[in-house]
Amino acid sequence: MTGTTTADAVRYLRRRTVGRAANSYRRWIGRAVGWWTILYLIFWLVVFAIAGVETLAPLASFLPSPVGILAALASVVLLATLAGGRSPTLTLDRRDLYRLGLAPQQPWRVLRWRYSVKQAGAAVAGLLAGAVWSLLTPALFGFQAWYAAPALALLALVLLDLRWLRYAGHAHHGEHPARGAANRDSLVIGGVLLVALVAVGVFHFTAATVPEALALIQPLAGLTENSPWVLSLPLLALLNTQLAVRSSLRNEWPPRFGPQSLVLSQMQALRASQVLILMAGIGGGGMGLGGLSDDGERRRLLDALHDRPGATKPRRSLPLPPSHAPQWQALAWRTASALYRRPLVRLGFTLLLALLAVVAALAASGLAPAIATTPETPVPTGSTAGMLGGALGVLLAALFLARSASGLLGPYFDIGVRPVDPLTRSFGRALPAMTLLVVLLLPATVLLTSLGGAGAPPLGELLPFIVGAASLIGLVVLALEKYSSWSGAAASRIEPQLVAAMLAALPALLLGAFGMGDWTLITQFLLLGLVAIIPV
Amino acid sequence: MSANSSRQQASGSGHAKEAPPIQTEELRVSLGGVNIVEDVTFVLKRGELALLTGPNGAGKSTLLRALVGLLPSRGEIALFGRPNGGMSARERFVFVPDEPALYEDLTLREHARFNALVYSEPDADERAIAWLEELGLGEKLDEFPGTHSRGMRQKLSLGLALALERPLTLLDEPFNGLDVEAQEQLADALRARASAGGAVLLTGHQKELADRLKPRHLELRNGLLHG
Repeated sequence: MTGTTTADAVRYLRRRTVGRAANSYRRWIGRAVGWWTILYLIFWLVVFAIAGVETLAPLASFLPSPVGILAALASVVLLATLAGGRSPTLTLDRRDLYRLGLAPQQPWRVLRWRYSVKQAGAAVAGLLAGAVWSLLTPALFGFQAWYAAPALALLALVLLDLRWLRYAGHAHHGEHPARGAANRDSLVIGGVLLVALVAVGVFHFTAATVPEALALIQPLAGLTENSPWVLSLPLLALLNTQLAVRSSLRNEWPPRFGPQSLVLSQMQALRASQVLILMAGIGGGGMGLGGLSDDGERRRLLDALHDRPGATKPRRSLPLPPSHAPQWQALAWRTASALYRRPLVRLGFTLLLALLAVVAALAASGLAPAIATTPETPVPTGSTAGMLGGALGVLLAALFLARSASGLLGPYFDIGVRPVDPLTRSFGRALPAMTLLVVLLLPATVLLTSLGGAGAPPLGELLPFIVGAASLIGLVVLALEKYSSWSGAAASRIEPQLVAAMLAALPALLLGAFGMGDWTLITQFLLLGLVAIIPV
Repeated sequence: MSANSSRQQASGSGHAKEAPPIQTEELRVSLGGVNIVEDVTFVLKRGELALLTGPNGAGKSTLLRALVGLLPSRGEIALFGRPNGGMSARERFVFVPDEPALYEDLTLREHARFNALVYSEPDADERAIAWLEELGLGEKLDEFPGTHSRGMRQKLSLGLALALERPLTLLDEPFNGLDVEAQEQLADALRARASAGGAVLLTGHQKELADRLKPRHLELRNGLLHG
């Protein structure tokens, strides 16, 4: 092209789109939050930070040298980076992928802007962490490390590059030269850093003296030494990783980069929409907000990303409900199917979490003290205000239950224009979770009584506590479903879980405070009935 | 239509001039353990206009995406005798996806300029504008495409592709969302492109397409290619 280069196209695009997007974002933030509010928050953040620094006083006896711990932690991070790399650290969105990724443009030129943004984020995180470290070290460890900020920023950039190189090594097939080069570069550079870190750790833990040269040029020297030389190794490593990254994107995209970009950008869009909608303060199930954070959809996208079974065909299926089955049965089947189709390990983890939540509910119902009683100290009456600190214990158990139940409610179901009433929806969605949790009461009781050691009391004595736990389970699950559907906030978020837990703990809290603990169980059942019939 | 009469250029070396635009050997694409396309072997020659049909889910879009390197595949794919993911192959084709991939913050006119810059074809800017005017978007050139209908966005996407002088054009369901007049214009343009020596491969399942384009007919059924 006369007078132009291929870089002109990317520059032309970024000049227009980035500026316009930034302007829109600025305007939107101004309207949704308000810039004066943000400035006010920043002002106080700075004031608090300065006040915090000023209150720092040196310890009477300094903490032991952190060199060994830091080297061990950094080695683990580096090893994890070198062992990982199955998915890309950054992606192109759909438009860039079709308009630039398939065009005769050098991949590095196309990716450079996004890579720079990612680098800026990593560098800022490194600078901040390093700055905090520099401020803390004189007071905690008795040494100065004023180069920690640039050193950590450089190391964060190196880590980012190494992640990309590992990905490039994985993503190219067979004997592709780009695969070999990316693998070689990442392993050589990462290997050198790892050997240096391990050497420092070994010297430190064997109480040997770290040679002065190594102390100054080891990767984490910036955190413990106060010399510009500490930047030499991170700088050298960054120079090499940058050259390697550019070389890995000289001519071809890694073959899986395109499809992975499509999936990851879709997931990113889901998250971004959710954040934007929440920031704008738009609630309500009608927005289908809960659907945006549908865990099943996210899981399917991840399966597609890693080309795993489950993305195109279900792993396993439950029998279909009969065609004349009532609506609640269809909804319960949908929820149960979503649970049943999870990978086995994840399903096992979900069940374990549910079992622990039920144990917590039983403990909160007073079962544990019941086991611990002797004939001289009679079993307290069944009420959900047992061990774990009375009402606070009930609240914690309910929160744990809500956390567990959030993974059991299945996909969000916006009734919208469908001929389904809220009661049917709640019952259908909550039934599998309630059934599972109540069924788990038996093994949970066995578990808890076996922990007691002195032999389990007869079933008749345990029954009030089991009933108390069952009512707590029902209340938490139903409240979580109702609030999540009404507010539009996904059940996996902390807000609906907190609301459900607080509501469930309310009888124990209030009646306990007025010395009417014996009424807790019956009040819980009444509240359960009330929540069940609320038409939201 | 001035843009319609654009000549097709086969840029590149002599090797690229001799090799067919598309050549696949036992091409297989599987997603999540399911084979979508199986053992597809075919050649698309210069000057050929091929219509790839098949029922929904037959794998038409998957095959097209694999050809341009957007999906990992097994077997051999060569575009003009070169590996499909490389720069030398990307210099020779233009791909139109089924859903228009447009920048919401670039106007139609800016899209045309950007398109010309990306493909290093200065004249493609004017040709794209001519195409967009011909397709009825002349008064929308300084608007963002975000508020436009599906059909208008599709016209923009097609106008940008047709403005480029690439020896191979791949289009995924290009007639979807177009009004009758635009369908006629597109069919004429694709036929002209093929008769000028370019190769065109498009997907679709309308029977009238075959009558209108008189293409070489390829049918994908259960992942296997017939025709």
